[in-house]
Amino acid sequence: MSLRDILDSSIVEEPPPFPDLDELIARERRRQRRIRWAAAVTGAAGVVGAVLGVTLVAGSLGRAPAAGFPEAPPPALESSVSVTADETPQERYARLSELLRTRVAALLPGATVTSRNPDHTELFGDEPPMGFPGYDYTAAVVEVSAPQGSMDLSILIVRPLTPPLPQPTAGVAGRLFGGCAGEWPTATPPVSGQDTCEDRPGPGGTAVSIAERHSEVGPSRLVTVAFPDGGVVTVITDPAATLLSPDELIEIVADPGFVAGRAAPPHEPAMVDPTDPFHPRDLPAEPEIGTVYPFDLYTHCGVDLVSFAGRTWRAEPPGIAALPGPYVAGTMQLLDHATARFVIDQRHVQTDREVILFYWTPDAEAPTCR
Amino acid sequence: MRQAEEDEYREFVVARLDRWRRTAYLLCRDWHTADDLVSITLARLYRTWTRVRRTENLDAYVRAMLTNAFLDEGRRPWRREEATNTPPDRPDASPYPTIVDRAALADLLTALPRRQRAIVVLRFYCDMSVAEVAQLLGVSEGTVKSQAARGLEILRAAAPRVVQGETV
Repeated sequence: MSLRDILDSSIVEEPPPFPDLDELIARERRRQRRIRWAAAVTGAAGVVGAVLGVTLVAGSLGRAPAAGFPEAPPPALESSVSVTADETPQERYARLSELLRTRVAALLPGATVTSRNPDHTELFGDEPPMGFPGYDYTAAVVEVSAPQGSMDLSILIVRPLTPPLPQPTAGVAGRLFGGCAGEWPTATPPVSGQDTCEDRPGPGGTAVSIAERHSEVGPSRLVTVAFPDGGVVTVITDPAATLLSPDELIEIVADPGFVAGRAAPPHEPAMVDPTDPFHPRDLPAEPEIGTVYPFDLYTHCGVDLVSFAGRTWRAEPPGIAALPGPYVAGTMQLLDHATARFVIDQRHVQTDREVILFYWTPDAEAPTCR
Repeated sequence: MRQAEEDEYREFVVARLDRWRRTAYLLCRDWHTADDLVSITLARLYRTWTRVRRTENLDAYVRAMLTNAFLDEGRRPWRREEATNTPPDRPDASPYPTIVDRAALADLLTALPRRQRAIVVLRFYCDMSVAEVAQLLGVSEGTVKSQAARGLEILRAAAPRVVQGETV
């Protein structure tokens, strides 16, 4: 008997069942997806951007639009689908899935599009926030199969949570998209020496960037289309895949239907009692997302940085004109764990502004002039 | 990773999973740790599958990943082994190795330093050549030979009826 056989037979203890291989594969799939999408969302900011996301988003607003935007917008694209105002998330996923299939079929007759994400019942589904609160994320991981070959596409749709927002660059997609410029949340500038990026105007007032990125999960091609209303669609593929060229990918996703629909519920006008400065209303210690609370916003020190619900928040956009003080009455609602919407009760104060968005800013402190 | 590649990965893993688990178990003598090592290896393999699936000796590549996972684990503070005052039980003088002897032999493996244990397992359980083990661990062939010889000596001294006639 060889030592190998002896060692083999020495394992007298019965092994427990091995952890689920399917679960391990699914976990790795999710991990790879997140890494690739992080590259699409955080751009040059990378990990730092993910950590400082709130600050970066707020700070990006005042900057000039990316070079890829045309100065005079051409005729806007028309969506090939109609969107109802009360569309549920599931209806939206079904609509997006149908839209994607239609757009692919127009280019590749007979092609099939199947989901590779077992977590989604449709081709599309939601994704948790990816470092930049204030946006919603919808994603699909699909395989396109045609007689001439197949190709995997990872599609990420990013929309501002509460359009319309104050847009310092109104009329252009200046909100999320940075093209190849480095400081915008969805910018895709070259990071390593192997990376490339190209900006160009896209169809119908969109702006486009085509980038190649090299990360720990290998090379990726990122084709990003930014729409004038602020929504951004990024398609991530293997650069070696040839079934659909970057131009064809742009043709597929350059449909406003991909970013259409309301990303957050509309706000109701605030109707609350006037402020009692001796008993200002605050949020509960653990406010519920979506619940509208009567709230008195402390404006005495300005509202660029304020504290409520035990945390520090930064107003967007910064530098809001002075509001009467020391308090302004209204309603506060958490849109997600790091985004809050304050609606001013305009019956009690004279201001043109009705809505202020606040982003949780863990690294900052509100001024202590109180 | 494309679906076809993933299917290929799954097929490759399923066909070898049992052998990898047993190898990992011999290295660490604990099924939970062994499965942790195999899971780490499988995750790393998945991440690199597109690139390495056409590698000439993929089995050796995975064994290297598994061994490195084992050696890496050993470097973590909470995995450092503790000295004990109780020596392992010695087998009796019966002329043939029994299942108890074999279990004792596997226990004795854990008395070897981690790198030496890895060399013995790779060399005599995975049937890898001296050159392959040396390349895998990044040491010289002389080191593999001497470490394997010392490992065998220890095992022979402790369980002479079990380890007979094996050469480095």
